[in-house]
Amino acid sequence: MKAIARLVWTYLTAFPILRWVGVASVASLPFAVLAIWPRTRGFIALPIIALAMQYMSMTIAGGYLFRVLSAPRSHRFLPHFRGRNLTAFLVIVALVSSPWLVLGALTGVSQPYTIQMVAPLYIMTLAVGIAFFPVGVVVTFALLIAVNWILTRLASPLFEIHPARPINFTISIFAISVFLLGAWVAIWAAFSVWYLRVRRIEPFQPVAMILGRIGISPSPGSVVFDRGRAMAATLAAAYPQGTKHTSVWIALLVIGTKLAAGLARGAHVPYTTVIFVPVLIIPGVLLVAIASTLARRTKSLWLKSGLSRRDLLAATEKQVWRTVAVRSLALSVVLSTGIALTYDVPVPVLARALATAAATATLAVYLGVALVRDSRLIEASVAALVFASAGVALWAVFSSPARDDVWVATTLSQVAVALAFRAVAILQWRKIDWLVFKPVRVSSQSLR
Amino acid sequence: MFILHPQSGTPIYRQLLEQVRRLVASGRLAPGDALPSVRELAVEHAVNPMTVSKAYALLEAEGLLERNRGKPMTVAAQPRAQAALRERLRRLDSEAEQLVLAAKQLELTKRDVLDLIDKKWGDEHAASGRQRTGA
Amino acid sequence: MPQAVVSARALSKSFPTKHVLHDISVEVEPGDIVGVLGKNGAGKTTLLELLLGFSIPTSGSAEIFGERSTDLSAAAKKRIAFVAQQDELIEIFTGAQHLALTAAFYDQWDHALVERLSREWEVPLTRRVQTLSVGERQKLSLLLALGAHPELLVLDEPVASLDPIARRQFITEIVDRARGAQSTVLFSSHIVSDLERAANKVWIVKDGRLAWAGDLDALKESVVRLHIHGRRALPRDLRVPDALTSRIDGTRATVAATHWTSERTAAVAAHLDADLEVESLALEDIFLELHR
Repeated sequence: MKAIARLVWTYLTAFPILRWVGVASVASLPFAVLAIWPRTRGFIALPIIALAMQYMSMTIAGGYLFRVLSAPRSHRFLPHFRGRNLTAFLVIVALVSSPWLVLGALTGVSQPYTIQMVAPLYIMTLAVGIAFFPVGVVVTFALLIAVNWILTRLASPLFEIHPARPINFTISIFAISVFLLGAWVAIWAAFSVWYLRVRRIEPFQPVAMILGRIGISPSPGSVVFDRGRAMAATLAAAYPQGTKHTSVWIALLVIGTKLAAGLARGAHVPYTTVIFVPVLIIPGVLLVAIASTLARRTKSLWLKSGLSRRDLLAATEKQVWRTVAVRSLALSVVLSTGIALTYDVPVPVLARALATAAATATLAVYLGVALVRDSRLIEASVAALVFASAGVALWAVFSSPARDDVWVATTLSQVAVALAFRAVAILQWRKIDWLVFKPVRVSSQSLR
Repeated sequence: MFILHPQSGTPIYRQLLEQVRRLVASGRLAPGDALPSVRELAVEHAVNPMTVSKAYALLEAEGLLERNRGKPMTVAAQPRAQAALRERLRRLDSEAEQLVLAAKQLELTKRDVLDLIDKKWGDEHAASGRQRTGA
Repeated sequence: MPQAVVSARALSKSFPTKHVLHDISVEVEPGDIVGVLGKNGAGKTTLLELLLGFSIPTSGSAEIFGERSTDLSAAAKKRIAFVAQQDELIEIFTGAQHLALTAAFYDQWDHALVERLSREWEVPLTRRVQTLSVGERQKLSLLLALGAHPELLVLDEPVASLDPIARRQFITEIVDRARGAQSTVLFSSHIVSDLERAANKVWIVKDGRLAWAGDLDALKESVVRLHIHGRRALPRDLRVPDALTSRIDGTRATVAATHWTSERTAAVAAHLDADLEVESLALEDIFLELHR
């Protein structure tokens, strides 16, 4: 029991981003309680977002971790390791998906959307599939996205045109959901049998594996660096591994947005609240995680680059803004504009939401960069702060009538806090201690 | 040329000292013979070059080796074997210690040991002489 | 007196949960090859990283090339290279990319040396780091440090994962580089035999303090194991100056002691009316005796 609990804890806290997102979602649960009362239905958006974030990150990280923890040979000697790891992972799936079900019940999601309730389970299964069978699943995954896109483009106009269908239609939707659940259980039963019996699970090298299967060996890539590019490349090693993972992120984000949209629709909340998802997740939590991870990476630049601690801070700040922040804001803008166009969000509303996104990004960057103590408590508080401030601002934008005073106040204070934390960062970096503040590694040490 | 045991209780430089002295004393290293350079020796045996220099410097001070500008150390033309008596005796120090220790372990008396030495030296008369004077 | 390359004065470091280093004062002269020995958790990594300025000491100070470690100038840092215990390699880069990356930071990168060593040590340069074995990664990390031709090379367990051949190649390279005052090396290792070959100075870190910081030769000549064979039963409270450990069994005793001289041999033998055999110890045995 204790071992399983330990494993579950490892899954929830292995990466800094997971910790932050976990805290944010727990912090948003009180809002879910408020959502029971019809008048405060608007608040439902906040827990939806938090849970969407939690779900997104756990899906990506969980599948990866599941594989990483299964690979080391020494784990074969830990008693009942495979069984415990599997159980822990299923606990995680339950932990992360069940709030969707509870929320759905609380908000009285109407029948056609019960299928969407089952979707979270499948998405996690997909992540595990990618982690264990990347080649086969990448292909299947691409097909699924295509199918999903085709269906929603073609099918939803159909549903919207005929909202009131005969009763037998409703029953068959329910039957489909049950069938899907059953299929899910069957998939996992088969996987469990394989997982518990397979001898060796190789360490996870998705790029090498996929390229190897296709018949391409990795090219050496650029072997010419100048000083500036060398600095950037050293720091960039902190990013989620390469563009392959990024595209998975994006795909899952799109699907997550769809999920949130479905739930919002079912809860009779304006679609506009769904903009929360891309506008909040990317500039918010992700940037804090990346900024902080970059800061850890500066350890390897202390001697090589010859820069002082103060200059390393400046270099990190520049790197975050020039590369990460720009890309994440761009992604934010693209996704939210897409949603706004699809759901007819008025331009002023969209503009305000994007302004909040920018302010949240600034806040996230400087909070992340100032976070140079290896303290879980501080990390959790920072996540909550970013999340709460952005949530309040966006709620002010989307509530009717729009609460401009609250929005302006919150957004401006985000920027003010960000600048204050820039000063904090300068002070903190004078004493940065790389003995403790090192790049994070997921190792089997965390299992003891 | 040398056999070095870094894991011994005896420091490496000492091992080198002893070996060079013995090679010179036995004639296997003749005056004028060149010794490997510090770097060569260090790299060949994977030992710290400072150790080698220390040994060479001590041997030079002893008069056993001489330094030639730009060329490796060579055995001194006249290994100042007029080196003080004390110096020469020092070379037998460890052997003597071992002999005394072994003798004590075997519970032999000093007289027994001296007799033995005399015998080895080839001087029987001195042995009987000591017996008579009770030394 | 040449300026010390590295110097520490009353260096201490403590974390909220424990006090790791106490009052360490030591110097490294130019040209030294210093071996740092110590049990796991004794503070070796902390000491090395403090000396290099990765961390702020709780009290005391550390200097390199006369400058404060935490405020080293760019010029000073150019002359230093560090290989950490856990490699800091980028998984998706190949060895060649890493070398190019690191070379971009230094003006005097020795391409020829790196090329020769990567051949001799058989380090694959065209495969990604994530596909390399632990030994190959360590060798690559060493290459990245050596290519910069640093005046001060600091290594934290650099050869822990290398086979004996690779270790010998590495030691040979270190020893070959040791050209007087141009190259100073500071390395910590469990593999005592490597230290015994290459180091001229040894630091033994025990419980956060330096149990020994000085010449390796002097250490070997100082610490001895005495085998005492008395004519009568030896006293229970057998007292030998500077004894570390002692085992007494009737008329025999084995005592490990430091600062030993031949005068003491004679004195103790006379005092105990016993025979004394003095055994000089290998570094590993010295380490063990110091930790009994």
